[in-house]
Amino acid sequence: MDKKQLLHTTIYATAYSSCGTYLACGDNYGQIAVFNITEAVEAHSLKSTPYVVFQAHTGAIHALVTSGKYLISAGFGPINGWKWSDIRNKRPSKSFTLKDLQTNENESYNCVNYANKDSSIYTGADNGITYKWDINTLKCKGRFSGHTDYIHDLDTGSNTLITASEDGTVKLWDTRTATCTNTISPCKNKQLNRPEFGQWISSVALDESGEWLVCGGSAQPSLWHLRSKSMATVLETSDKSYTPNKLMFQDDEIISAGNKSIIYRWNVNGEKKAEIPCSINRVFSLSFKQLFGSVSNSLPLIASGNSYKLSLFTNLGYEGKLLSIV
Amino acid sequence: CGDLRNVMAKVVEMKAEGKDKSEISELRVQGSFHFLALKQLNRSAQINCKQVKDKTLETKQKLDNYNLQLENLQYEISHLRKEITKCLEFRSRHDDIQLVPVEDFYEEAPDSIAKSSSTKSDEHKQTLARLDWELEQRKLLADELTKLKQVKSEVLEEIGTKKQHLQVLAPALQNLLKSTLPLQDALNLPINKTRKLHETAQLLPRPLFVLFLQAKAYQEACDPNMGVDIEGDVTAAEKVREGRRMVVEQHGVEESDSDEEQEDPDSSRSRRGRKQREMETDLPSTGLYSPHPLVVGITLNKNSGADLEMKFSFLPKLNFVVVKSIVTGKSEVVKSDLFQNFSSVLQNENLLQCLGNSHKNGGDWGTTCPNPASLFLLQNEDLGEVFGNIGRPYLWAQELCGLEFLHSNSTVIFFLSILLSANMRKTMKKLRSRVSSRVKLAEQMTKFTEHIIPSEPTTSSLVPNKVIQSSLATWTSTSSKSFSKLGFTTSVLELLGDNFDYYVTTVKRGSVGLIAAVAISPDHPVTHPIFKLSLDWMGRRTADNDDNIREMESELNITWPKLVKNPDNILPAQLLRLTAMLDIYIETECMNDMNQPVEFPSQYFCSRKTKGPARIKPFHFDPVNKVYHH
Repeated sequence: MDKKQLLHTTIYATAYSSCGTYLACGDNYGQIAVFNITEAVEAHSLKSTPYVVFQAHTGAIHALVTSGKYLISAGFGPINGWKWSDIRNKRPSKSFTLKDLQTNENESYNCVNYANKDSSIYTGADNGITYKWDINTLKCKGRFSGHTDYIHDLDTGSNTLITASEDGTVKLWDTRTATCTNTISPCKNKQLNRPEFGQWISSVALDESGEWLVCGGSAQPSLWHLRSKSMATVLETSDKSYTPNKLMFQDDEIISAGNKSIIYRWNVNGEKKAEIPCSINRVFSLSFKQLFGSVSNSLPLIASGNSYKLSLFTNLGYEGKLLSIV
Repeated sequence: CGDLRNVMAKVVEMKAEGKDKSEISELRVQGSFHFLALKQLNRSAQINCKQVKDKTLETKQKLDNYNLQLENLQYEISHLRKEITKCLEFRSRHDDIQLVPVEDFYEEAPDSIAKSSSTKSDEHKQTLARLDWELEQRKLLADELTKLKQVKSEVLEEIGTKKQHLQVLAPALQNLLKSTLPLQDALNLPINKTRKLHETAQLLPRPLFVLFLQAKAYQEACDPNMGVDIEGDVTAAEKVREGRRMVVEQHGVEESDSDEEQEDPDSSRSRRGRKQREMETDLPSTGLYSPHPLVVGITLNKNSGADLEMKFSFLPKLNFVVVKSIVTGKSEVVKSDLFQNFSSVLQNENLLQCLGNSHKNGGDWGTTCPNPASLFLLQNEDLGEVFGNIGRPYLWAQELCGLEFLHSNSTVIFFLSILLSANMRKTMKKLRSRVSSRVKLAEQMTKFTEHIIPSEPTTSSLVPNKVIQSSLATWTSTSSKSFSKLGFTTSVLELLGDNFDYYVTTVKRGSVGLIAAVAISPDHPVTHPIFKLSLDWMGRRTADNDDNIREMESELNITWPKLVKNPDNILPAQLLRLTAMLDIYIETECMNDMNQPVEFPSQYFCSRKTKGPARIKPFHFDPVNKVYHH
């Protein structure tokens, strides 16, 4: 790859394979680079090169997710599915594409998630609609429309879908009926609102019980109780201009990364636990290894963002080695 | 005997007794008889004895004969034995003669010699037959040899006569030349001039001669706007040549014409050896960097109004070629005052940098010694300063002159005139395009200082045709040191090193100023200029803290150059794009903030203000629908 291009490479998305051996990352030039993480962790050398690299999209890749034997990439153009077995054989080829006939050609998707329970893929599109696709039939099974701007992030729980949008709201949906059950507007909360950043929510996550959610964006990251629909606590950060790009529940913690070269950890009660320095300037994606079928996440954690390098955390206390996509 | 003795005794007795004489005579008769008998007996004994003796003698002789015979035989036997061993030990010469293989023999030889029926079974006969065949063959070949020798001598003779003819011709021609001299002058013909040039060319050191030859050929064949000339002290060159010739003769090597040597296909090694000898000897002066007195000058005229003048000189002691260049302008554009401000773009040493293909492996900056063999001579020298005075030893110049050194990354040495001529064409073309794009660059920069971004229809159609509100405020050249002091440029400097030309420009939109640091590569426009941006608006925004600035840089450095068709127009196109993007950046940023008075009203409709996780602004312009999109 051109040296100059590396200067401008951003890795928006990372995803582990279901076996946990491989990690795919997608950059703003539409390339997917796959690493053998097990080897990279064990290798003594600091330098690590990708297992295979291929062009997946014509434009940026915004999200990646693994659903069983498929790797699903979302970004510019339709959603593409790739077989992990093909990638393992270093012969990746598109095995399916998901495309809504009503969207225009330049459509792009910003987030994708896979719900194991009903074997569905949820994708948040530019037009503010979230689509539900059946992984077996590859048909669109539901459209969740209501947001006035594009979907930044989504998460799924039991029969619930939760979406965060550029319009500054978080919506909860019933996946069976595709109806909006609740709307939260963190930007309207005086404690959280930061008008200098505008009004948008970039990240949302639901905990295992389905009772708590975290969200953040132009509004400060915060923990909400779902049943009472009230904000429980503000997740304090040392840097007030921090906007999260990723929030997630991990064991009894909330982990977040965003526009600072720091990864934040809070206890579930909102008490700050740690700030881990990270060499990546602005982080867009955090990925834990998640073994197929099991609910809990496990290390190593991969952080990626505004760099052609990936940061590998074998331990949640400090940064480990860096993996370069060239 | 006894009887005789008795008789005698009786006689004696009788005598003594005196007996009767008759008795005595009787006795005497008796005694005589006895004597006679005795005598007879003696005789027979004698004869017997003799007979026996004869017999033994005879047998003895016989024995001797036999012995002799035996010896003879034995001798004969041993002789025969010797003969046998001799025969056994005998090695025929035919063993040493390499015969035609048996199979071939049976195929080729006529049956009269081969006699395949008898020889196939008998090895001896076969060998004999093969020898016969061989003899036949050799005889034929010998005949041929003599014939050919004859032909050769004939040809030699012919050559001799022709040579004589030529020798006679030469003075005649000279006379002719002399006699036509006034005519030439009258008609202003360049014949004599070229002849002189060619004579001087003979005095050139080999690398320069190769260069001269190639350049001259190229000039005559392809490029009339090119000038090739030899400058310098001819007499000094002659001296150098004389000195070298003497040394060469001492070495017992016949000095041959340069032309011949050049045609010699596989003598690169011997040539190098000789060159080294020249290197050791043909230097009357002592300095390491003293160049050969003759210099080859190549001028490339009419490159968008500028002429490039290059002087190639050869450093015999270091065995490489250095180049010095001057750009002179004749057109009015080049002479204008403003243009002079940016003439550094043209005068700069880096005009000639990175011309060859080799810059892929680390660049051709002309600052290091190209000849590894003489590298050790220069270890303690400050090369930069020295090369600044005499010129720089670029790798492409060495290649042009047919000097190939073992580079650390290549192990192939080639020395073919075909390659050289191809090289010549390529290099001259590159030089021309380099100079003309430099001139254009300087023109563009002149325009920049006048706050004008020159644009071409192909690129301006890709940006909105409404007046772009942002405008170019300043454009200044800077050093790499002050460039790095800007802070936000460190990542570029790490990537590029400090051989680039650096400029700083400001683009203004109202009160907002965007500083763009531009790095222009020595082989501009093959390598596109690189932009780094810093926006001073509500705090300093750079690629490190703003994804949109990062996206703008990405667009300028990676995506946009791919759309620009004319490579010489790349820099203005990039600046144009930058101003357009700054407009969008500022206008969409203002839209976020509804409460504040809008300093920068939006002029364009864009369907969506942000996109993607990084919330990228819609920087792309759709010329058909006249809207911005992502």
